Amino acid sequence: MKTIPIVLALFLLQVPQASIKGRVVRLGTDSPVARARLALTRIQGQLTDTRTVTTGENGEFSIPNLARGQYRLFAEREGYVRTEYGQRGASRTGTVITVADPQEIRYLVVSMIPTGVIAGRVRDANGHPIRNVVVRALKAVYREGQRSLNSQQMAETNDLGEYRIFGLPPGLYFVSALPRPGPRLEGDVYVVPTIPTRANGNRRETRTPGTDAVAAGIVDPGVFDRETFLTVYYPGTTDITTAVPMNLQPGATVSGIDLGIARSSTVNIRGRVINGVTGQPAENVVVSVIQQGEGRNGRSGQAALGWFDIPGVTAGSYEVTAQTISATERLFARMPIEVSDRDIENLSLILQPGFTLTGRFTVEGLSAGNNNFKIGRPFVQLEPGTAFGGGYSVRVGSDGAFTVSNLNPGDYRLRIVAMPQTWYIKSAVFGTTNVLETRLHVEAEPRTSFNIVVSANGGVLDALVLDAERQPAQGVTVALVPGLPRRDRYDLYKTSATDASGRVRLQGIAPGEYKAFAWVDIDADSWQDSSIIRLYEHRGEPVQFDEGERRSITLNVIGRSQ
Amino acid sequence: MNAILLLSLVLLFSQAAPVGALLEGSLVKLGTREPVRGRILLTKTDGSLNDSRTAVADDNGKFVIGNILPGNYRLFADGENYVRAEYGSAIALASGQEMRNVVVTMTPTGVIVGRVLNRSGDPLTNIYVRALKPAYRQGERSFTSVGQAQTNDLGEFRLYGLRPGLYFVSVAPYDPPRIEGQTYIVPTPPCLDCRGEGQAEMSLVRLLATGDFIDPRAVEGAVSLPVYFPGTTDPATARPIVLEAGTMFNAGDFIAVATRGVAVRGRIINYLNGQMLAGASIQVDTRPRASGSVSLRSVRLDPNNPGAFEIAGLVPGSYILTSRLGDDLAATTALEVRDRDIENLDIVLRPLIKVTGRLAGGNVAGLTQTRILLQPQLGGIMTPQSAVVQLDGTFTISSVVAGDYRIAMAGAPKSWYMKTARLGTTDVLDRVVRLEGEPKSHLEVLISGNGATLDVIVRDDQQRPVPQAMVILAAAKSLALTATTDPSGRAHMEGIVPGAYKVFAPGNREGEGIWQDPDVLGLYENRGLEIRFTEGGNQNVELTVISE
Repeated sequence: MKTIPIVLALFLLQVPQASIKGRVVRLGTDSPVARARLALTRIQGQLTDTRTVTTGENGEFSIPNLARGQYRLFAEREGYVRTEYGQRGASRTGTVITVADPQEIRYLVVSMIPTGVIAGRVRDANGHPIRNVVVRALKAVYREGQRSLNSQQMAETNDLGEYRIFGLPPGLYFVSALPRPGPRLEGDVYVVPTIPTRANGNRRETRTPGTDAVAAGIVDPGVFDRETFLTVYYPGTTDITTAVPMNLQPGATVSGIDLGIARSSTVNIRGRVINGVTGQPAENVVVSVIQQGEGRNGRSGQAALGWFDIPGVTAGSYEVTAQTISATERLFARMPIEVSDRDIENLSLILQPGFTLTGRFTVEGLSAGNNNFKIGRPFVQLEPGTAFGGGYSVRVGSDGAFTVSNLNPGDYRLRIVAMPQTWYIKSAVFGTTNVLETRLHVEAEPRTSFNIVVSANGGVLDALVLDAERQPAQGVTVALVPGLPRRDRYDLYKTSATDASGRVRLQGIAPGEYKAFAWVDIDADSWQDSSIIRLYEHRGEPVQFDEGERRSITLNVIGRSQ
Repeated sequence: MNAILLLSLVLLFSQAAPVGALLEGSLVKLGTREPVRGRILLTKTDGSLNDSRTAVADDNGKFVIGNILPGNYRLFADGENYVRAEYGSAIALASGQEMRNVVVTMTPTGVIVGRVLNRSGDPLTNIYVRALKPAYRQGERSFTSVGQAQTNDLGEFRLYGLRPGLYFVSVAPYDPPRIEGQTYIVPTPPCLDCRGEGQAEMSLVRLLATGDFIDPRAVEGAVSLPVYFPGTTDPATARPIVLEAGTMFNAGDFIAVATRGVAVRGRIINYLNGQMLAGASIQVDTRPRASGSVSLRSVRLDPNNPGAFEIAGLVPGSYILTSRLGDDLAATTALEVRDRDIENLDIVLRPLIKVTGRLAGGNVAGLTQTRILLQPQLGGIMTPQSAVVQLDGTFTISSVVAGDYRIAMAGAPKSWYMKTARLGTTDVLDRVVRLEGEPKSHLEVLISGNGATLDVIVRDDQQRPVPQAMVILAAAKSLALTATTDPSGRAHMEGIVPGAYKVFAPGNREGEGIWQDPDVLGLYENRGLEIRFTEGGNQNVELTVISE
């Protein structure tokens, strides 16, 4: 009786099973990556289908006994970006591996992207090292041509003033330094910022009555300073617009990125907020002092009995805004101010209700009742430019009408989202202003309608991207950039990534001149920055579209160091 | 007439407007004449924060504060890589007084450096390295983190800004991702830009549907063991580092140890009926307790099988499980975890116990603040149970969890000590007593108000009295008493149980808690003075402070 199961087991042992064999190498080389940890996951599989192995000294791995199916393979190792098989850039996805039964997949190569290091020292004006300075590696991100710097990794200086930011994927980085926030005084309360942890109940600060802090002998002399630290950007500027990025190559260590610290005297901004509807001092109001320009640093506080006092403001151009916290009553006020070296007293902000903007959304060639129109009902979004506060997003009605309520005065950028990919914005007119080429400016109750016209007949670009070996390049970023006169029309930019066959399709292209680019690894939307696209201008493929025109082109990929 | 008016005005203003005082001094590095740059804070002893004054000590260490309102002040000094210092005593400043040559001695901080590698010698990044201070609670050592660093891409760490003193060092990666049921959990460590420490939870089903990345450690159930200097995973064999002022201690290479997490499964049983018990809580503590170095696994109670539990992801080591159901039933269990899952562990919850007793010896009616304590030997979340002695000498200790205890006394006048303690016919003084149910006998405690006394004067190596010096009285690596010297370098101890001791004055400024650590006592005891006490006897000794 026992022979049958044994025979069956022997039979099963001899059934050929699928397997994957391959190597893990350092990107762009044949150097093996030893002791890399691999995780093979099966799409639509079970946890028991997930397999883990470690590469040998020669970087080789073997994963036997696989069931047929679709898999994804990930590799991890200290000093490398976690990399998926077939992944081109640090932020791209990889290629799915299809395993038949039985099949031995050999010579599979995972190219791991080595991370880099930025290191240096922070010293004061006398050359003394400073500890506990937060040094950040920042990446530029772009939204409609507006650059902002986002922190990617950070490190703190030690007692020697040294810092070392590691684990950085290759790319362009800005570096900034700012001492960690120290204790401060709020009235007679001693406030110490803390890193939120489970142990401290995830609190961001501890608050101690001033007399208790004195008695405990814990008061930091710095709390009495009327100075604040300014962020210093490499190569040593407090002006974010003059910060210089560095191009960190894969696996490189860029040392000697030394920075100083900068202090600035601060002043207080004081005043009152009046509810313009009731004429009474306003309650439940947040007052903010927002610096104008790229950094847009701000400080805010709540008005008590209509009075506000915002400390720690450095010299510069600001906008003071006040906004009600209430969800039902949205009142708003703003005032530009210039801050010098003296406190500003007795500012008076009068809160006013917002405006109502009505408009019509028209699709050329489609009536409002048409089914295609109903499917394509997009959202009209107004993003604040100089205006403070959140933006507005309203869905176009089935009749094509839309209304934006409680609109604060200010300048706004128009965005249309959730629109079919084949459509493009043809015109957007408010009064006599073409809002596509400038901003929507609202300073009083609008007396005219906002008319937006789109076309459902946008152009189509099919691109094939080839790598240096003239092979189709997968996972490559393709961007269609409008011609020079229209570079500020951010609705005209189109982008996507190539598929496994190196192809990509861009749709909804407005008529006009463009250039097409293909990058193996580039920061998202950085081509909207004139200083960056200038570097690649000569690599762009000119292409022109008429209404509804279809074009096919071949692009050569632009490599990392190009 | 005008002259009289002028004189009157001068007198009036001279009385109404006090002349500001002046304070001038310098910061110098401990044991040297080296100047220290820094910042000065002068606070009023009876004033608000806003009465404070600040100054800068320049590259020569000099500082001056002028126009100070008369009053009593405290003076603090901060320097980069120095311990915050306070000038020895409060400073009384009269109107117009000029106080010069105030010297504040600044103690430089120390640094501990090292590397963390894996078994292959590869550097490990982002590993948490902690400087730990030991403390003893109920006879059990615990660690408190007083400094933390993370390794860089070279595996290097640098713990800086440490006061001179004794430290243990632990190395532990933050918890890796794990899988609990159908949830993929990624712990999120604390960071400056984060909202808080916590964990991100994802649906495992959704991850598997798209074949997204699952951390190999989660698949394998891998966990990392904390490693203590000098390279042990057993906290009991961890060795302290003596860090001297302004020095750097190289702790060498730590080899990280990873292992498969161990699961403990079992049942919670009601002692009264032998049945499985639903609704009880379970808490898991490491032994010894280690704040900030190990995060504990969550306990899963099986909703389909009330009373069953599972604790996953435990690293090998010693634990204490504490289980409780309301105020009626409880249990504390020691658990040794090795490299295999533990199955069928029964935690038997017993009714809480009441212990009654009587205090005898002398006028107990005068001992109204005295408490008798039962100190649990397992520690964990169990706190000592105690009761106040009544006027007739009786006491009743309630809500005692079944387990092993030692008898202790607190709140008695300093000259008193426990002479004997008996439960029935059993001597339980300085011994562990096991309580599994209500004792049939009373706890009889005999005390004496005739403890021995010790008078000490502590001097430095130049025979100068040392104020604020710690004096330690120990017997066989066990702390008996501590005291701190007064401004004349003198200290007094009383209520000493007759017997043989060693007494010494360590040079460091460690708190009292660290001296409960036998390992720490062992570092000093052989440099102590042998001393013997008889009932009611007195000893006078002179000690030289032990230099580090």
